Amino acid sequence: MPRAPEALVQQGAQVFRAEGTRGFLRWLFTSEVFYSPEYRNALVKSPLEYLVGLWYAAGMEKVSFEERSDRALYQSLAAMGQIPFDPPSVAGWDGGMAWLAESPFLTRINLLAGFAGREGRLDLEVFMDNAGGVLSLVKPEAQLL
Amino acid sequence: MNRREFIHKSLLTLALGQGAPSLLSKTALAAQSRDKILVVINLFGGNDQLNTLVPYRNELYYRLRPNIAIPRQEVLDLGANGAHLGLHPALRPLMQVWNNGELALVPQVGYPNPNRSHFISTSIWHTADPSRRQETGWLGRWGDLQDDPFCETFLGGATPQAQIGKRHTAPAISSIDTFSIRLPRPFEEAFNQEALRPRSGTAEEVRQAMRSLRSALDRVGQLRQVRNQAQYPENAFGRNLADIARMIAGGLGSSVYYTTLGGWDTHAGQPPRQAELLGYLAQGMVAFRADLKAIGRDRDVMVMVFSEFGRQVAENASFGTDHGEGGLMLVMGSSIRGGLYGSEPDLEDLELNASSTRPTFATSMPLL
Repeated sequence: MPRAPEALVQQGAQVFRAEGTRGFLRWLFTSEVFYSPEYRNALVKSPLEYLVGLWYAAGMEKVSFEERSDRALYQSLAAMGQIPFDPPSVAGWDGGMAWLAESPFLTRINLLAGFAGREGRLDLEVFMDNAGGVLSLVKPEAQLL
Repeated sequence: MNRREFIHKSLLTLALGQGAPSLLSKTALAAQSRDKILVVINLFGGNDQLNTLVPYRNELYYRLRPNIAIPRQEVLDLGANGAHLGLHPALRPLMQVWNNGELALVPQVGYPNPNRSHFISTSIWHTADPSRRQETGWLGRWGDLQDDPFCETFLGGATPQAQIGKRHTAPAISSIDTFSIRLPRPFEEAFNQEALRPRSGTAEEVRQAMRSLRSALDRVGQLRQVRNQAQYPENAFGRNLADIARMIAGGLGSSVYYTTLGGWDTHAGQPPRQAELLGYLAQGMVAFRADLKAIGRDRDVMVMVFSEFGRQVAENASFGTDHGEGGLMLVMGSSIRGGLYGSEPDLEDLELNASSTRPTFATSMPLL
């Protein structure tokens, strides 16, 4: 993970002191540097970010647990290593590259089968950089924020 | 590896392990031999030693545990060789192993200045460094010196710190049978292609993970035809041990297998919970032993069971026990010297302090 330059940290701290959390977040998300290439694709998506990202890209507005395929996808979070609201310990999840150990990574890749038929409605631009067609979902960038 | 390389790597391992508890460094060294296999079972949560290896002739035990002590008549006596301690009744399957001299019990294993946080204590066990300066695991440091990524394997979803080195991390395999790509052909081909295209930064790290996954799929895929020769208990831990036996039988080639059985943090309602878990442990271990005997590998495999700490001598107000210090280690194998290593715990020491009762890592060395 790249470290933010000290000057930027100081600037952020100033905004935070002067304007509080809301002001700080506004500053963060609207600053040019937040979107600069060197800070993109630096974090590994958590299983929730990955799955919700895919659902969002597929244009889904709500997930129905009555629907077998939706339920199966939701349940795959456990195999990916993240049961929502149930971290392995009070220290939370390890995160980072630990999400991509062999078995959890394989689960991420295999659940793409559920999106293989939805090419037409899949807007991958909102999910990843370097997207070009549904096969992009197996690129390394698909795992990154 | 030739003799010179072997000595060089061994010395390196020793150097890396300086200050580390000697059992672990020594065990890592023993794993160098091609045919010998170490299986590590981590009982995460802190197993209560006193209700596992029960000092049932000690009045003080019953006085300090009026509600949760194991009743005298239910304890499995270990005889003179076991200093007249006894096993929890749920461990009955292990009695035949004990009677054959293939089970070693090592009470109060720990390290100086014990830490009662699960995370810190587990981390000390994993890094084998009580000074907490090491960030890599005791097996990971050994793995760093090996050429084969499958020199060690973790059965589960997230490789423990013990198996993480500077450049090597043990592959994490949850189960042999589900470990295959199930995607339309074009996706799988695209995946293989992308794994060959170098990136930079985090994307390159992800690509390396894709390559590891690809080679793991090929290696583990060959094991799907291998069948177990024993009946394992129907639970996740039993299935993990069954898969380890298949990996050994199928020649995956790991010198170390590692798996976890959690749920031992019994602050409340301990008796039924611990009995259930000890049952899983014992049934799994004897099935594994039977399986290895059936394929003629039992003399090559040593199983080592540990927990990050034991628990207090006195019960608490919730029919449970709180974090203590030294814990019980179990070692099983056809070529070990079974028996009790160490003596009856001193119950006056309410925290079961490991250093006060001597048997620490070093005591276990004659086993190897």
